[in-house]
Amino acid sequence: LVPVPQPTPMPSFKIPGINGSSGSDADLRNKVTIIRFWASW
Amino acid sequence: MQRAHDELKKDGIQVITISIDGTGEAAVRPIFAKGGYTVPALLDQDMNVARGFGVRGVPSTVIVDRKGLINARGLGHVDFDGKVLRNYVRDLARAR
Repeated sequence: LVPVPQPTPMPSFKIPGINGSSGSDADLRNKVTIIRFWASW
Repeated sequence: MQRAHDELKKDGIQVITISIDGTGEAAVRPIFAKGGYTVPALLDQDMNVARGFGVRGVPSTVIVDRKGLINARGLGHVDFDGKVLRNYVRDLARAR
């Protein structure tokens, strides 16, 4: 994991999740968040 | 990953997953159901969110602070149970 020298704002987003859930950048405000991008293949 | 989600919650740190599978829920839900995972599973089928975060390959990890700033990133394996990551995010969570 490499620290970013000049932290940049995350993009705005709103996407669906499994089982009818969803998530957006608003959910990440005021919390430290670890995001894991992955694929099943 | 699930363990990090469970153990870091009390420190005000959340763990989420974003899949870039083109088939979306059909690819992701069976894996989460079989593993009994409760970590949030979001679907980025067109990879727009991944691109927005500057992700260049998977698996990738991005850490966002309270202000919504991208603080760290990693491509490939990251030890979610390791002291380095745990201390890093806890320090971020304590920072005001």
